Amino acid sequence: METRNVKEMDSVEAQKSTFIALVKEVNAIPGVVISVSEEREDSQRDALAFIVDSIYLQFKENNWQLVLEQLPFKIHSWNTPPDAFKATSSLLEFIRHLFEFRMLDLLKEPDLSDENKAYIEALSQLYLASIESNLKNAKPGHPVFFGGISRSLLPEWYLEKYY
Amino acid sequence: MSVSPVTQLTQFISAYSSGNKHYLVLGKNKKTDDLPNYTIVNKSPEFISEYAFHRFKEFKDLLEQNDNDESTNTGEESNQYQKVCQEAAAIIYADFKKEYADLPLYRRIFHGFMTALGLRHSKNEVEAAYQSVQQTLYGFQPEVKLGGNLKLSQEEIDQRVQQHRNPQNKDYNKSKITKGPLEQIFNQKLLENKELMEASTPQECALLKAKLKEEACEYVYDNNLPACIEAGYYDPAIIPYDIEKLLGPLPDLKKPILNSEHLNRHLKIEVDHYRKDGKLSEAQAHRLLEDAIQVAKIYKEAFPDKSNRDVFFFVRDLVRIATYQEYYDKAAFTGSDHGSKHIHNNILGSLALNNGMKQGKDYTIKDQFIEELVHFYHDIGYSVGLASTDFECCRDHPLIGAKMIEENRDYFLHYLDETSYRTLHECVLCHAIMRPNLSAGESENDVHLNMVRAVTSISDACAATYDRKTQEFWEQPRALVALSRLKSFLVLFPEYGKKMGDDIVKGPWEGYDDNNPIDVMAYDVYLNTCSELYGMVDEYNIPEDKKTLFKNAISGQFNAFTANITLGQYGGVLAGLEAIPNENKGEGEPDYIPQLSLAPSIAYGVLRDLFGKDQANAAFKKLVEEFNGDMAEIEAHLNDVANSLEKGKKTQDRKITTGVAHFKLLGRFVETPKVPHAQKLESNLRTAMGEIHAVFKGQTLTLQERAAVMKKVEEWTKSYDEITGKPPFSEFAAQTLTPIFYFPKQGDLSKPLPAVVNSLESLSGLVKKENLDRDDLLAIRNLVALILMSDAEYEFIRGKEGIRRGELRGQLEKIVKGEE
Repeated sequence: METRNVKEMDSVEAQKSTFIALVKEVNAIPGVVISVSEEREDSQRDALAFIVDSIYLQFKENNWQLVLEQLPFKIHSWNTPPDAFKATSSLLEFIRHLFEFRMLDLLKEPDLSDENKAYIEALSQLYLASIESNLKNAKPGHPVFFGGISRSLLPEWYLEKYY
Repeated sequence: MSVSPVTQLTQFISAYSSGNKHYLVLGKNKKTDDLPNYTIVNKSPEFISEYAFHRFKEFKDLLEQNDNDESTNTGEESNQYQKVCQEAAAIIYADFKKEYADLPLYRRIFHGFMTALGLRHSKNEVEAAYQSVQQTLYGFQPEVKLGGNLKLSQEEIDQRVQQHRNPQNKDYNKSKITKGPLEQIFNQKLLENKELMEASTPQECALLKAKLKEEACEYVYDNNLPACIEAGYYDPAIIPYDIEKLLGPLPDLKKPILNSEHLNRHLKIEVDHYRKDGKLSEAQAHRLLEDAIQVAKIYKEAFPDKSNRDVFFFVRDLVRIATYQEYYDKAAFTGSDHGSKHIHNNILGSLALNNGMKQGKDYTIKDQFIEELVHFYHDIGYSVGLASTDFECCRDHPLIGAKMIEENRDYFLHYLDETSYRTLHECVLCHAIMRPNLSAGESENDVHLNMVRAVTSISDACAATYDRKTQEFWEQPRALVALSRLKSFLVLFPEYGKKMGDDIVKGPWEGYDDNNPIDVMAYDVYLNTCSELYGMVDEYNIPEDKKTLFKNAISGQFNAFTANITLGQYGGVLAGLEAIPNENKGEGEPDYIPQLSLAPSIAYGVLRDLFGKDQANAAFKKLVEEFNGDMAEIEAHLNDVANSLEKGKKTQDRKITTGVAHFKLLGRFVETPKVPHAQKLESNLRTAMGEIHAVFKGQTLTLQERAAVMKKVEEWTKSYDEITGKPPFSEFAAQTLTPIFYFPKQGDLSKPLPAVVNSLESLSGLVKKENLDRDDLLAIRNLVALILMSDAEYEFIRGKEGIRRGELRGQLEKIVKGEE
């Protein structure tokens, strides 16, 4: 595995670098192909950017560099030995956890109207139900689809393709 | 007691003819008491003394006053006037002929006489005045009339007109010609000439295709059209009598027409009559008069031996033809205008093409005149009764129009000549086949058939944009908004496009399900759109019979196709048409290439954002395809131009050569002509686009993006296996749906309605459900569509009377929960 010195990069550069590293790790999972250069939208690629952004936001007051540095290793460990189902289902569970955390933050926003709150909860429910069903329907030996994150939750550097 | 002018003149002439000197105050050379001895003094006829000139002039002024005051223009006075003019002409002619058998001298004398009265200004007009006065011997009706060859009783005429307007047999599908035998024969010819075409240049290929299609057209004209006439679908020969039924019989011409001024004045009276009668609007009357005066002028140049009277009668018939077409154009939503707007713009197009050529070498005045005749007559076939209900009949209109011309051959030979008649007939018959061969070709009797064919068909083919093509009905903001309502629904639910085809006017489509809420909504949207259009007609300030025609067109023809075609016309503007010399002309290639200057309209951006680039580009695509071009070459440039214009920036004009034409894509919005109708049209368009944009501006996804999602929903439902439950909805949801929903951020004002939230929750329930059945799949599909619409959009599409959003959601949820 490649090593990166995240400590010396600024936060955006570090996130971009981590994202590229995650893509590389995920591409090592059997049956998964993600391209960083393709123009076409890719929900699974989006999910990797979400992971990076969520981790940064969670840990930005405390050792975010270290945590970002560890992310690729995490995926590597799920995929050792290479196992499509295990790696992707673990990844999806991880994403679910981060998503739930993000929803908690969103719902805590001051001045959030009741309608918007209900909307956020309904959207979350839809996404979580989708994850649950995908995990339930997954077949051993086959990758689980880990996309589905709303594009409104993705970081600007990713949406503007500055990576 | 004052003596009427007619009486005065009668007395004067009577005195003159009897030599009564009391009425003749002699000039410098007094006559003896003997009978007048006419001599010419200083090249003026002596017998016409100063007093006589003065009296005739007074009389002329009085007559002109009476001309303008119709209330004093009694029938009896008109007859008297006619007789007096005849007598005056006879006296002058006879007297001078006695002494001066030399006719040119007579004409010089007559010239002097007419000059004194201020009634002529040129040698031609002397000739015409002389002819006109002579022709008064025949009365003031045309010698030859349209329909005059039919010798029918009034009862027979009435019966045939009735049948023509309301054919009993309306099942035209089996007899249609253009999309039947014509297409078959043409395709066969294409196959037979496949190798030759493959070896040809694009120009040669286009010309060959046109030639083959013309051959097919001529064949079916001779072999298939007669059967349709025999079957009673339409009766081209009776059209002149149908015109008479609508517009009244040809009025008598009460006075001779001695010069152009008289001619134009009479044409104006004719057009004004139809305007006051409600047959023409102000804008239509304005255009038609302009064209009539222009045609009359050019007729006289092309046929200088025709009298003013003949010119008037012939051009008056053109006015009636155009008014008749304008009227019955209301009865059918054929997708285009076929009245005065179309005729006018076609004429302008032809003149523009001729403008780039050399008169005398490439075309003649006679060619220009026949081109204008072609534009007046070419769409008369759309006016038949069946065309208001059957689109296949509309397609056959060139054949019908040509037949009408053939049935009136004698009429056209009287006013034109054999070559002109044949050219007119052929150009009307084949006008829908674009012949891109702007070359003079052979000339016969000063007519270049090939050039006339090319110019008229190219000009007609350019009627694709709203400024030239759209029917008057669809120029109103309310109509455009109504169309957009229907179109918005169809973007989200494209499968209803076919269901709302031709037969929707008869009722819901086959397989319509009352229990399917989207079926119900679809039919509601259609009915509400129709209702909106009826309401618009009711409020229109037009005569009742026109309102009835519009309403009949809505009830008989309005469908999804109408919406697509009409909105598609609003994306572009045809700013100019020219004939450019073909610099790299090869053998067999045309001398000139048509160049079309195009620009996006002010509606382009809204149409593209809402309904997609296909809708916005439709007018451009039609034009490019007419000229065998490749739209892909234009599209990229069009996109750049439109994007720049949206940001308020002009770009350079771009010239693209594709197919058999040059396309100049302007990098700016085209300034609207300072003509009331054009200005009003632009104002209406801005109003409509503003209203539509206001509804959709708050959307999170454009209609096109939502259409893409709906397409993926369809693909998923089709691939779903009810037994295995694969692919699961969760997979689809994660791939397509959840990424597009927007999570509100802090400070966001967006407030999705509870209906949206509930729909999302229903979807969540469906995600968890295993083994969905067909009802579930339908409910999913419909819930997705519902969620993706904002409340404003839903209200806009549904209309005032349709099913409410909450009610619709409730029905769908029942299906989801298995309660239906």
